[in-house]
Amino acid sequence: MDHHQRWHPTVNEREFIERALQSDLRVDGRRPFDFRRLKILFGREDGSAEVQLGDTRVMGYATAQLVQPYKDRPNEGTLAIFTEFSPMADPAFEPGRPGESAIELGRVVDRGLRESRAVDMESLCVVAGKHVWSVRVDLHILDNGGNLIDAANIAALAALSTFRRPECTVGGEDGQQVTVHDPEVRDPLPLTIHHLPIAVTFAYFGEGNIMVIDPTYKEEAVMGGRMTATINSNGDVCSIQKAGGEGVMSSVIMQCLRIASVKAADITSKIKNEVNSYTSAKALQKVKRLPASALKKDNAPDVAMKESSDGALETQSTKPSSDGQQINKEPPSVVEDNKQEDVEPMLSECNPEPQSESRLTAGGSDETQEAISPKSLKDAVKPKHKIKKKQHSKS
Amino acid sequence: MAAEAQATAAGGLAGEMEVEAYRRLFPLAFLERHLRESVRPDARRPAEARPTTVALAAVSSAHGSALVRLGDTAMLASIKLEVMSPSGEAPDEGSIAVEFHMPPICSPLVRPGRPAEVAPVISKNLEDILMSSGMLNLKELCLISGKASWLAYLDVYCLNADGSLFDAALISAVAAFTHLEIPLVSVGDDGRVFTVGGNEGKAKYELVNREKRKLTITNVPFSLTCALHKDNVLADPTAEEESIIETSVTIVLDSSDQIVSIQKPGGAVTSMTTIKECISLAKDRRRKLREILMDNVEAMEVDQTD
Repeated sequence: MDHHQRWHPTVNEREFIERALQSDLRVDGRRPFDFRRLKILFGREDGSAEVQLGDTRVMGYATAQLVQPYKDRPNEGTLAIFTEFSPMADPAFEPGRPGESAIELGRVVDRGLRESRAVDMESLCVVAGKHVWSVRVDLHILDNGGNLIDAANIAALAALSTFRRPECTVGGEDGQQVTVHDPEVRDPLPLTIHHLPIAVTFAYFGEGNIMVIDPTYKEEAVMGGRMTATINSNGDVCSIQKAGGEGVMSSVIMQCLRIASVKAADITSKIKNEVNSYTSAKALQKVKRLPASALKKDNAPDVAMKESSDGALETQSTKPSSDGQQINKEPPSVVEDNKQEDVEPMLSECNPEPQSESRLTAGGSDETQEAISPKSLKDAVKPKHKIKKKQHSKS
Repeated sequence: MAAEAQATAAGGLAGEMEVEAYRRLFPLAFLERHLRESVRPDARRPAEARPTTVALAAVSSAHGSALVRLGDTAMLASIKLEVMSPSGEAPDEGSIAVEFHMPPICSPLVRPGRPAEVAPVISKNLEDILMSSGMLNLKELCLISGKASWLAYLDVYCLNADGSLFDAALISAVAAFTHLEIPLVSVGDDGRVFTVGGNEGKAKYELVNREKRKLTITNVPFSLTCALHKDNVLADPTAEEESIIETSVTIVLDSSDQIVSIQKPGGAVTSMTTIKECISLAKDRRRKLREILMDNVEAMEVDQTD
């Protein structure tokens, strides 16, 4: 248990919390095995998520970069989890060197996610032994309302579920040259996630006889011990962490694991629903844009083209590389001159001024979806002045 | 006849070399081949722990010490007591400082000048369990309330690392505390507390504690580490087994079979029935370890009376 707490209970407060728990009541009105209200919000960018679990708020942010792999695992990417505790979240968190709780949080989330092989690491390989994607998840504790581990775990999962890495191709004369494609040219790719390991934390009171799920910071200050079980929706145990604290009967531990598997299934479905609604909202927002190179006449296209005998444009295939890796790039769509005037307003219309980064859109809220999504995809693509012309002709 | 015997010996040696080569090149396949027959490479059954020996009073200069051998894993725990001022929060309690050391002698994986990664983790876990299991009553380490109390420095040295390091470290720490004798102390005119040695000291100084005493040890914790491979639960894995199998579960139980600590640090996913099996193995192991420790303590007491 952490010695640096923002709230030190008096004897009366401690007694009140424990007495209430004996009557199956909790200070915030929940039943022993209830989670607080879970809210998942996604940022404008892929791989950004904020989780609110009652008063606890954690932000997860996933990024990736190409690095050299470890020598013992040449065809596997890497996943690293970093936690940042700011004094804004809790006065007990001191700036500078991470405390015990920060290290424990990072380790528990890391064990549940990385070591249980939830994310497919081999799919992050680009060139074996040379280039792999290194995925980094930063967890920022925004507000400590208790049970940071579960909130941080959900934030990491939500961030990874919506994260997209740029697509890249391998080419060049030696077949080792990596081209990272711009998201506008090629759609970024999601991570391959095999299962979602959900952390469920139990707090023990009264010599381990009373247990509750998702303790608040007040309950954490009073609890005799805690156990975090990371379980997926299939009921498989990914990791368990109960370091010290009051002794608990083995039957109680098994009961906790059974409860945790039920809760894990609930939270998994919640995360999946939120991610699905976010991706569908994102898909509706998205409009196929033409690469800038296609708009400018003087700019040569990416791919060399030659005119075949029948007059059709034929893409010249790149020379086969020494190791047999051959990449054919897709030619960008060529725009005719007379359509140029239509294209420019379309691009400006589809890209309104970017809003502030901090604003987050709720993945599941219907209002935001209505505001974002146009009536149909045709309406989204149609330039403004054409719509106006139609209205004039009708009148 | 002699030539025939020579040929047989040569064939046996070649076969032995082949087995050793196979073991080195394909360690996982080698292990799995044994597990199909419900046996392990060192001839143990999957649920069987290695033979354990405890030797108390291994270091004469320490106030309490124990040498533990768990198969080829060897741990030496020693406790040194020092007088200190108690903290303001607990003026009538002593305190414990735990340190786990892995010198380069213990394993070829440990390099000189670079501490082993696992050492601070084991130190932290040991301290957590000794403090939270209720094994020690820290009030017994108090000399003069608010003025002087004992600080027990527990140093655990890994002499040979061959798997289940935490289990061996915990047994040695518990054994060292059972052997610990609190020395005689006296208060000087200036208020300083100092230890008193021999019968002369007893006569000369007014003693704070009249005789050397042992700590009252209740709720003794013992642990078992199990390596999990597919459907097999391997109790008390060796270093070789630990290097092959990624997944392990460590369970610490106290005297009343309550779980003080349970840790599965990542690795492959496992079922709840497997966890249940590990807990039942840990319960059996705790009983055996308790017997081993009690036998050694009794033998030590008999030696002292003789």
